[in-house]
Amino acid sequence: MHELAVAQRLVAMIVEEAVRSQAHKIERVRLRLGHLSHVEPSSLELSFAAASRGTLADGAELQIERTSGAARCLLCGAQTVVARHGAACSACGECALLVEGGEELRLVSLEVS
Amino acid sequence: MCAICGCSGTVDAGHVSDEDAHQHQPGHGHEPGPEHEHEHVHADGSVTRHRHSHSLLTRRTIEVERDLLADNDAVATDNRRQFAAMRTLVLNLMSSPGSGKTTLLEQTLLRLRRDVPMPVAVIEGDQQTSLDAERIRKTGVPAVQVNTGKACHLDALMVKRALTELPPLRDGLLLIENVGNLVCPAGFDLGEQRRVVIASVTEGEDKPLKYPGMFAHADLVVVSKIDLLPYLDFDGDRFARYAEQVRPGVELLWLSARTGDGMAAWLAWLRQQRSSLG
Repeated sequence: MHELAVAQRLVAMIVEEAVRSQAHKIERVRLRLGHLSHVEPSSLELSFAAASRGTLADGAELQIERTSGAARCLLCGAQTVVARHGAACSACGECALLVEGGEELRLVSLEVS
Repeated sequence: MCAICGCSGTVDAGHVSDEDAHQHQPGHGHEPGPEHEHEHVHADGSVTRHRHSHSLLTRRTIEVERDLLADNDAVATDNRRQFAAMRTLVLNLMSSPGSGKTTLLEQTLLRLRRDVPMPVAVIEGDQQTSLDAERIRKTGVPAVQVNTGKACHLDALMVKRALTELPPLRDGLLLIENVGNLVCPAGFDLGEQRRVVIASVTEGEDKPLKYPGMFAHADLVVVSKIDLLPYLDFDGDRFARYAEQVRPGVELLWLSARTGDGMAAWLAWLRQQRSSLG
């Protein structure tokens, strides 16, 4: 459940942003989460609900945009899109992919009032 | 339907709209406040009574674009810089609970002292107890126990704090034994130079496929407890194939800390990594 640690960090970040812009409540939070990141969205949502209780983000909607994983095949050199670690290359079918992207876990924006 | 208050009109077709507010009765300001009910007048003169919260009317967006683990990564970068200044090889050892990490460490430390004397220290991560650090100290090597409490992984700040409790290391080796867990520790950079994943043969050969996030960034996979192979159906070739699938080109070392089988290759790997630091 490292999602709880991530959620606590997220709540600290958004509350800090909201206070800085003198907002009274955080209504919605937008995240970008790569398919190859180590965070499970449903678990993060649950953790976020718990971590945000009693803060400015209490009840805020969490919007998670998923981005695809990017990898390069070490055998044929093709750039390919992958949804998980250990996938096969879409060009040559071999499992020799070096992950090059899609592990991000970013706070994009928040909507406050 | 009006998207603002839900009345049957539209903003275009009659609401007096300044940005996103209706024209309300005199005296009704727009300070933020709890949800409440009041009347408002449409341009055609009709009056609607509705409930709204002012927060809805004054929503705004703050663009942030920040990595959620930016704080951890900044501390990890700082740790890495410090390790480089100490000219010390730092390994993050990760595995499931019970893979034999601590036994491997004990045997490694005893052999290092005999064969390749160098300054060595250990950081032990566990949710509770200092049992592992006590085992390590019995080998004569300084060890700090980090108790993560509820947390399922070490993070860069825990390592930074632990460092201050260790005697100064130079031209040495720092071994960080992460919390036994094949999921969470993978997401947190500690500032280490190499990631070592340990998997014991009793865990079965499909661990790399089941926990790909952990194996995907491994610099070395140590397969431990090979003295138990005669009693198991463990298929080593399949394990190697799965590890290769998740982490192409990853090096595998097979050993038993109990019998000493394969320990020489592991110590050679440590020496080689240390000399590659320059």
